[in-house]
Parts: sequence; C-alpha cells; structure tokens
Amino acid sequence: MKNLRMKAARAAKDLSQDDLAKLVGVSRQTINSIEKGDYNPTINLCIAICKELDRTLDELFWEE
Amino acid sequence: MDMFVIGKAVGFVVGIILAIVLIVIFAKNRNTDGSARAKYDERQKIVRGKGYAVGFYTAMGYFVVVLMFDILCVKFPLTTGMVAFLGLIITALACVEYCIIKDAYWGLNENKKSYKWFFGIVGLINLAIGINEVREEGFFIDGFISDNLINLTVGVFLIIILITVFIKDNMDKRAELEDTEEEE
Repeated sequence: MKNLRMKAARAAKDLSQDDLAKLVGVSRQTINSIEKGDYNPTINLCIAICKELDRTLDELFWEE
Repeated sequence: MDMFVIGKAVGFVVGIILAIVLIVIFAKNRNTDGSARAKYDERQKIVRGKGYAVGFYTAMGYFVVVLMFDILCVKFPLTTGMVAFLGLIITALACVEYCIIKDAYWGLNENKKSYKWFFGIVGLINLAIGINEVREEGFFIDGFISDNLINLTVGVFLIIILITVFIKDNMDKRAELEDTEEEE
C-alpha cells in the first residue's frame, strides 16, 4: 500500500526524495520504495524518517 | 609439469591478486568516505542477499546443464577451464544484473561516475585484447575454443553491465521526473 502520508509530509517540508534519503542515510530508491509501498522499513529507519519530518510513527506509518 | 603450464598458473594467481589490489586502491580513492568497502542501506542489503541467491541458483542450473551434456556425451569444443570460467561469468552476471535492476548494486558511498568509467575502460581494454588474440590465433586451438577468449568474455561481461547501468539510469531519471511532476 502506498504511503501517501509520508510523501505529503516530505513535500510539506519541501524535501525531495534524494534530500530525505541523504538525511536518513539511505538511497533515494529506498525512500521511493517506501512511499510506493514496495518496501517495509525497519523500525530504526521509520524513527529516523519521523525525526526528519517532525512527525510521529503513528502519523506516518500506522495503518487504520 | 612443464614450465609453460606453471608459468600460466602463476600468472593467473598474480593477475587475480593484482586485480584485487588495484580495485581496493581505486575504491579507496574514489569512494566518498575513503573506505574500500561499499556501504549499503537496509533495503539494499536484503536485495543483495536475494541477488546472491539468484547467482547461486544460476550456478546450480548451469552446472546441472553441464552435467547433463556430459552424461549424454554431448561434447562442446570448450576447454574445462572455459567451462568453469563461463560458469563464473554467467553466475556473476545474474547476481549483478538483479542488483542493478533492483537498485542495490551501487553503495551509498560509491562514486558511480568513476565506476562507470572504470568499467568502460577495463571492458574496452579486455575487448581489444580479446579481439587481438582471436585475430592472431583464431577461436579454436587444437579443436577447442581456447582460454584466450577469457579477455573477450570479461570485456563483454563488463560492457553488458555498463549498458544495463545506463538503461537503469535512464529509467530512474524518467521515474524521478514523473514523481516530481506528480508532487507539483
């Protein structure tokens, strides 16, 4: 399932996939895969992404 | 054992050691963090694991086919060395192509542009040496495809990798552009 909330949060911070990838220490394709729902990140990477986007884990990764 | 064979074996081992040393020096100079080792993120590590599995199954398939031909007494004009070498190349190619397609070939600290040049130059040198050897000695020596084709095979291997990298880069650029347009 696509992670549109993460995509929106990234766009709200005016960050490209490449910018966010560099901030959390992964490749741009990994960020792309997470947003597309092709890859489920580890909790460590989820936390790193949340910190950079100033969001909580629930806000970005919890599925209702 | 005659001296020519011993010399050839020593040359082969020295060649491999020299290649490893050169690659380490190149990596240390070109990697962004000065490390000789490539660093991968968590997704890339998983994909690379699958890539090695693809390589392993390719090797199994290749050697089953070789064994089948041997049982059926189907003979190919290949030396044992070339059969083993082709197995290595095909296995490596399967693994590398999988990793390139799945975006797990290049490490986070690797200077992609330098490696592309490196692959291109080394590939062309090997192609040139291989073509020259074929021109001078021909494809067959004593009815067998000679070990001289090793250079040609390595050249083709590197050029195939390079072509895949360029195709993948173009696909990525297009996808990135589409993503950016979608966000706007």
